[in-house]
Amino acid sequence: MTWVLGISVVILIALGAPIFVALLAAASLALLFFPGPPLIALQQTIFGGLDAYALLSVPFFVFAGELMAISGIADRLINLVRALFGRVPGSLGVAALGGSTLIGTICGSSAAAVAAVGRNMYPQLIEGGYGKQRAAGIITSSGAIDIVIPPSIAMILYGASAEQSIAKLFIAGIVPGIVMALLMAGYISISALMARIPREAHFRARVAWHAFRQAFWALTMPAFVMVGIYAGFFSPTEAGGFACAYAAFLGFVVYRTVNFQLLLEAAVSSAMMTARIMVVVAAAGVVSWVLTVEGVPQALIAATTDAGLSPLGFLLTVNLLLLAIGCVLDPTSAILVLSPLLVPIAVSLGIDPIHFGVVMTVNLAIGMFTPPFGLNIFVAQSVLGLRTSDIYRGVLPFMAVQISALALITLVPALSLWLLTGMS
Amino acid sequence: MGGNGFIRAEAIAVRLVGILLGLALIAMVLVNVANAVGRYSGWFSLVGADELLVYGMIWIVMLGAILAARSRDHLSINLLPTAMSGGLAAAVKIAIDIATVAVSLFIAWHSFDFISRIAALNQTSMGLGIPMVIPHSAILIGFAGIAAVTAFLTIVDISRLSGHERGRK
Repeated sequence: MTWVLGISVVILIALGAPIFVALLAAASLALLFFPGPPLIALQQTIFGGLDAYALLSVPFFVFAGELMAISGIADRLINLVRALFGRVPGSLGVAALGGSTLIGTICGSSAAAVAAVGRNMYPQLIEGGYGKQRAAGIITSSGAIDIVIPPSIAMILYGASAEQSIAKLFIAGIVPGIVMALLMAGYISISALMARIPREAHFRARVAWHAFRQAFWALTMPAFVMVGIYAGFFSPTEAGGFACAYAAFLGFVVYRTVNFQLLLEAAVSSAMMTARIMVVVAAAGVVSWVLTVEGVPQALIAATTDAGLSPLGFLLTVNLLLLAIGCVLDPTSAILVLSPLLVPIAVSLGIDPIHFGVVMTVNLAIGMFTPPFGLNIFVAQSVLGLRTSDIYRGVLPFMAVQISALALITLVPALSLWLLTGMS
Repeated sequence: MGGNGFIRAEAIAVRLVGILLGLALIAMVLVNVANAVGRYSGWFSLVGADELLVYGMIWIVMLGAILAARSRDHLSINLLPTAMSGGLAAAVKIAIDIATVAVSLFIAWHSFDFISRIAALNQTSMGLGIPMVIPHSAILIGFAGIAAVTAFLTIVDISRLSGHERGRK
């Protein structure tokens, strides 16, 4: 039964079936040909997969990201980072990276960051002598950090799927996200020095102050959301709602860039994005139910114990598996399908499930820009108007950098757990 | 109603459902914020707000899934279809559409069975006290809608493909 399920999913996904159809078709086939669990439970499983308060944060953070894009918050953040990094070698590239990371503190969508930074920074990177491939590589790979830096939709889904605290996952993602950003910044600076890319104008306090004043209200948004969650003022779901309300307030009242028509368009687009993500959540719930009823997670735990795999060996194996899967499957689907299988094994080996969630998220973040099918590649292609081959070449060095970051995050659990331990 | 009238009516319906989903999301944000403010300030508490939000999200997801099926916009990976020839790719697309219709009808049928049973029991929700048939019906309507729009698109695709083949002969 498990084989029928697994093979059907792979074949249908490879043939281009919608992922929710592939998951439900495989689960239905398994249930029809290997009767066991009652079919009437299908409705309860699908409904139960969506009937979770924590999952409400998905539409709210998606909507907050859309509002951030239409209200000009993203552009103000990018301009500030650019003004601050004037003196650093490769300052324009570092500014694109910094802008992307800051955007990640507001919305959990990697694609939104690639689109916002790409539109704003790509022409300037080309003008600054970075060349098409390097510029595309910076923009495409920087966006991946956004699903590690909280708030992260991937972490919300992992938390819901693996029954872990979303607030703890958000806290655990901060240091790994910064580590990824710092390693990327180091590489961008060194490669800019080696390629003799001319530096931008020197840092000017007046310009930086002006950019800071322009971005001040935008900067308060991540602070408001993060402090609210970490200080315990509101849950991640409530934080998502407040993020939307705050972004709408900035757009309507402070920047006056948003009107009701734009707000409604952003809401419609967010509702559609939510539907596309959450219907996969519902379908993955059915697969997970079938696998659990069949005792597959327990069988995998037993097989792992018999194989004598150490926690480190398991984590390295999972890294290789997820890097491969991340090349072809989006993080949403990968997390929803794999978490119920992998988390019980990780816990049985004594691996902290929060650390494991961060490792999974970082892996899938790398998959977001890994050729041939990383989602960010296609977003960058549509925004920058480049050939995919140029983007493929551009992202390769950044893959190496982020795989180094992944190794560090995997081998040093304290990077994920230190902040949590400190706060508790 | 002629072909053009049907296309216009369908486009208006799609647009209206989209607007309804957007307005519902805005309303959900307002309820969420009002509920949090009321609770933390101690001024008021919206009874059943969490339930309302979750059920609202489920309806948004299932109606949005119908629209996404209409625009063929669901998450998918075109691993093999991009490498296939035109005829083979079209055949695979039709086969996938048929599978989508079959799976959606299968889920809708079992959903209908379940909803009939809870309707007979008059089961109500704990917070809002509404009949549980209302939130559960989102799954039935969602999958029945996905099956209907995909069946329609499949018929259009098959007729276009056969028309194209006749044109070539």
